[in-house]
Amino acid sequence: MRTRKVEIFAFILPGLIFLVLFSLYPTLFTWYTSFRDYSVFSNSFNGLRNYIDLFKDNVFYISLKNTLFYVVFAVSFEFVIGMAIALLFNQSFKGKSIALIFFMLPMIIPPVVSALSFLMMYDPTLGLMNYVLKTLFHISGATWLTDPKTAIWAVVSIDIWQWTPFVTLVLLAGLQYLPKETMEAARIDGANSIQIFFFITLKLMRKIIMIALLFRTVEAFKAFESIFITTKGGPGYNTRTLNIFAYLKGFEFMKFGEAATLAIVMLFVSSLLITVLRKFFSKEEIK
Amino acid sequence: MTKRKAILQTIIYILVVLVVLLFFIPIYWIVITSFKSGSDVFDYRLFFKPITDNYRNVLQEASFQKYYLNSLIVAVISTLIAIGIGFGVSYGFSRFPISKKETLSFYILSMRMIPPIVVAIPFFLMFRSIGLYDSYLGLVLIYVTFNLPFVIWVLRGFIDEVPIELEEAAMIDGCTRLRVLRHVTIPISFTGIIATAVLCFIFVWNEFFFALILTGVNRRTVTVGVYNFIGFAEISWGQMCAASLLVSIPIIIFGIIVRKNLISGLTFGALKE
Repeated sequence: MRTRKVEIFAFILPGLIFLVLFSLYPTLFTWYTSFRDYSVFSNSFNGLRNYIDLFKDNVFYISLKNTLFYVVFAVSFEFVIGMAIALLFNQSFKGKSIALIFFMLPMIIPPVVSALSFLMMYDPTLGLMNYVLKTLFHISGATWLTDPKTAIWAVVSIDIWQWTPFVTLVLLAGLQYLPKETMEAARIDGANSIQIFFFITLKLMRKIIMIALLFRTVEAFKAFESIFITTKGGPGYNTRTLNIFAYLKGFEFMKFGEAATLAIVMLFVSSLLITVLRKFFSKEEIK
Repeated sequence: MTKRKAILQTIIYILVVLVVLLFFIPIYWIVITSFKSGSDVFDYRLFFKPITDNYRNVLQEASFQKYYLNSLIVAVISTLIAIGIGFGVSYGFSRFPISKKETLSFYILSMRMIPPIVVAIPFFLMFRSIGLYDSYLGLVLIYVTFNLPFVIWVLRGFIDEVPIELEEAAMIDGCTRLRVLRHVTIPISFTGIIATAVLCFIFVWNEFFFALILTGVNRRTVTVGVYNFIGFAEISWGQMCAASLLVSIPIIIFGIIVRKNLISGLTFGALKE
């Protein structure tokens, strides 16, 4: 088909201009702001001051540690539970599509609603969690969201509840494309189900597993609602992740320069993750 | 053999029911709490007198109606614009020889994956100085930006599936590019376009972070409105749950409609079912 340059531009230029104006330009602006002392009362250049202060700030390292904790535990639990459920749903049984619809609700409903329902269930005096522990196991519960020992697990559990269905559905799509002949051959050679799973299934699904894990890592890194609505980063600094820290700096304390500096550090980490993701992201090969 | 099979089936059913129940409990809890009166909310007896007062109160509240309408307006308009602009880019990437196409295209996608705080700071500062804070236009701009990379990626997958020979044949018959789009490309990829639009709508409707930062009392969206139920001294759990459910219902319906496209959508077309 003969195409003229004008035609190409007419199609793609509006979208590209939009993205440059509203995505690239703001990102550059944040980068520029990160070198400024910018708050409600001041707006002046101060070089690398924000970066030096940030890397000296103890709370930054606490937030980094919490972010790592959140991402690592949320994503690994989602993977293990998600895989187990994917194997279950890979069996044939009647009513599967109905079961799947109910199962995928957590990732469809607004994240705000998920966080609120957990806020309610974790309520120390009146919540479902402590009620169940007390009546079934005679254990007095905890103040889940305000106890430094449990708070981070409580917010991680929201992420796990919300996103395990996503991991399951991705892995389930992968399981359905596995070559049946390879499995049959292995079984005839005397391999049991556990051996088949660890030596064949996991190997063949390597790529799809990486996609699921990396997508979840990129998303969990910027988790917001699950923490903001339940603990706002507390108690103390116990659930303060980089994203919450940046939000508080920028929009509670109005220290835009410092928030921008933290945002740029996050952009850097995020870009590294996205670069890794790209390696697994060629469209054709997965089918 | 058949007996073993029957046992296996039973075990599968028990496990499936357990899994589904476990994941459904938080939603079930919202549903029943929304029908409880204030004094019943934390009474765990199985049977209680269901009331609809919570719904009546929430629906009669002027601010809730306003926020619901705001969400609807912003979600519909930004979805239409994102699909319109995004279609052009997807079509261009799908059909035209553009140098460094794949690099550019992944760069566009990465705009969607970076933390929103990176663009939230400049948007907040700029919106306040040019009067777009707490406005429909401001929200629509940010949500089009937010959805455009998604639309470009997912729509491209659907356009790629339209056989290029059909377009060529129509062009040989004398159709212009626009006529080909109208009579060949768009009709064939129509279900894909609709699915993409529905997913966009869901993303905008569910979005919380930008709406929290960029709106005040006038253009607040309904997700922030629901969150505000815990802002008061005493939380009215019943009303909060009723509001939560009212916000979730359209999304659950849409989600079920596009469930086949949900995973390929959430992975930006990296996976196709």
